[in-house]
Amino acid sequence: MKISEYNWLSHKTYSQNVKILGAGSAGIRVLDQLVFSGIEQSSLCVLDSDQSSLKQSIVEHQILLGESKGANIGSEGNTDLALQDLEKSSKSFESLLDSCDFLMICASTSGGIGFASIEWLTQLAKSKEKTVLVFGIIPFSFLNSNSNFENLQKKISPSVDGIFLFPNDNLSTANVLETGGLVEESFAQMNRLIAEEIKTIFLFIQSQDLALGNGFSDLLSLFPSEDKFALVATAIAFGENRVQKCVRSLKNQLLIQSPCSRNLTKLISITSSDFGLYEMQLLSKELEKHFPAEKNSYQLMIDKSAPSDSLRVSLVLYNQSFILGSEEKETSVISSGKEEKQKVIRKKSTEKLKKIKSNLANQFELDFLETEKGKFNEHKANLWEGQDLDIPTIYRLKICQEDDIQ
Amino acid sequence: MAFKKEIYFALDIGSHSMRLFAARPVEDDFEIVGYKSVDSEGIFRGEVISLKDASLALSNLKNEMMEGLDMEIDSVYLAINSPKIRSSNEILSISLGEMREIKERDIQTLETEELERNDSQALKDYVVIKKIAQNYLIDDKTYPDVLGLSSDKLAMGIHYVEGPKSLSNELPHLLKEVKLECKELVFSPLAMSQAFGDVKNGLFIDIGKTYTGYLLKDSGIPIASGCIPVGGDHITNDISVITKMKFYDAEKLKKEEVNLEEFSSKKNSPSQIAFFRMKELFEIIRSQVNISFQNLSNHQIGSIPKTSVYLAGGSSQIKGIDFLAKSIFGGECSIFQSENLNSSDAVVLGLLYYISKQNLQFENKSLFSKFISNIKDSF
Repeated sequence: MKISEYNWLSHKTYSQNVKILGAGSAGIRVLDQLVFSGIEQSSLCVLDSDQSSLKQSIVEHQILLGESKGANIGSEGNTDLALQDLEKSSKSFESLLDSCDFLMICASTSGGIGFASIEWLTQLAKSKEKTVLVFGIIPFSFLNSNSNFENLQKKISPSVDGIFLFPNDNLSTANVLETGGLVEESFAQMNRLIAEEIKTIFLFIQSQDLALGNGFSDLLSLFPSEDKFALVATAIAFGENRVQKCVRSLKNQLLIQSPCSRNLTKLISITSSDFGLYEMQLLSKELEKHFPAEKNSYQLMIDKSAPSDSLRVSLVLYNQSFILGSEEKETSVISSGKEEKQKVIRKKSTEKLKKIKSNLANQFELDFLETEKGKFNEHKANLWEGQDLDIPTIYRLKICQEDDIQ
Repeated sequence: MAFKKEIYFALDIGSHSMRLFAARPVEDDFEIVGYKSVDSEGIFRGEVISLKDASLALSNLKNEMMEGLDMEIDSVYLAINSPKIRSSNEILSISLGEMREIKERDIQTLETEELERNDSQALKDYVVIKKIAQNYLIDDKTYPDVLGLSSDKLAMGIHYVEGPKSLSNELPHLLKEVKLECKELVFSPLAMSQAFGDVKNGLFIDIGKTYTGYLLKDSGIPIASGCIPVGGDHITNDISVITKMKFYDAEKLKKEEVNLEEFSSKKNSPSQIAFFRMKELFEIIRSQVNISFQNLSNHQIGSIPKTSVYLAGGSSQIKGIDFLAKSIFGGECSIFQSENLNSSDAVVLGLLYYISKQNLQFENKSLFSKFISNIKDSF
């Protein structure tokens, strides 16, 4: 089934058959976070050829690959070996796919079991006419494995309905590279963030109570036919000034802090039990301040069972040029398959992206000593009523600058 | 009951340390038979950020206690707190159709209403950690029991403490990692308030390392509670950042020299820096308590009256903190003190009192108590 043919409202029971698969150690860690975030175990499955990696996972449904060769060591990044292991376990995946209509795969695109799973499983799922979404964790650019992703993208493009990308470079900018924060803690935060994004999409698919918009079809209509990329961010706030709190939280999320996320088409999904017209206007105004765009699409889900003062806002950013740093026109050239020209454009685009980033970097510098957080520098903003409480009170409230304390 | 003869264990997992107390029931009281603590690892602001580190630290704590007592430990009562926890006061009411005497079946109907309220919330991201029956309400007047009274409407106030599902999953999962069963999750400020004995009215504040829990009691009933993401480390950090001092030195200075009463002596002095941090924290708590207070239907809109304050936690030992608390909350200030325990032990000690009281409650047969018992916990 083509994704464009998917009619959300006519498939009331469709949401019962979503399976989220975590492949390889990166995918497994994210799915562990999904368990913590309340996603039912019955919707989750993890797979790896490394037994120790599976043992550490709290996801109940596990598939160990390559058991016959005494799997304990994994595929060691070898994609061919991983593909062989997957094919040997094809019966497990056949039955898994038979039990679902909608497959979401989360894995690293660097190589090995994650890479192979995305490639092999998307094809298998498509042959069974399943709807497939891929959540790809793109390794750091300094590991020089982004070319792997480009290869993968070409291979899976015909059989996948949407790709959501989580570039490690962006996720870790504030946590690791700039602040020198603890790597382990930063990765844990990243996994939580990715899990939250997957959960957002999962809830999109699960939602059946839409008051406005066309639901998931709106989201999917943002994907062009060939290059399908999106970034997702979610914020939840309660009580007074919840709109401003949500916008502030979205603004602070690393995924969308990139200058590249500006001027893109967005789907803005709002979930609340009591969202008013005034708040809608306010949200629109506030978002426009931080995320100007020519075209925004709003979707309001009235969920009466949501807490009475809560507001959840999700941003889905359609972004086909994010990774290569190319503009739309250039991307179409890339898609035409002219290898030499691709290289030139890619190089130009990468340089252009770097330039954009360096030019716009100043826009994201926080004023008034906001970075002076001492011990808390390595942690994300500790927001309370719009203020980062980790910043010293005297600085934040400008008490001593007024010179009137005496 | 067999339970009374058992040794039970109270565990508090904080950002600074993990504390485990073992106690044995003795008539209406208990006797502490074991106390161990280890430095916390893998925990930040009440959340598990490294399961591996946290489970290793917890495993060490468990083993030390088992060696000390020469017995196995398979379950614990666990204190829980996080800035993500929130609370609310809600009124559940039913119409009796006409003015008539209130009977037992009316109270049962009220209980059904409560359960339905929970069902409707089942799909939310938040789950109920604790629900505490406040009082019956008839014509905006409160009653501890209403059997035999006449009315056409019956209502009850309930204080709900709710937390994200992820939080309520994380800590029990951590316990599972070290083969411990979580007998009950208890909201830390509720436990801490028990450490001050049978105090019926007052605001209980537990200042932890990275967050501060609070609970306001009125006639022994919680009417406001919550957690603010500011703790003792913020005071130390403020001093460290502003005076360019090392964190370790700032911590030492905080403990030994800071005096909140001397806040105006010198600009940007450690005492002044600490004063403004603590003032801000107390003012946030006061505003949160006011919001909860105003939501109570049986109180007129307005600020809470002057209230006594009971402080615990490491930073409750800062000199002059009682002066600041009095000036902000209006009432007297008491600071947790014990011969053998330090101020950070208040939560886990209070948890032992809580368990002890729960144990005794099983013997209470009144309908009201049964109802309270029924709505006591959601997991």
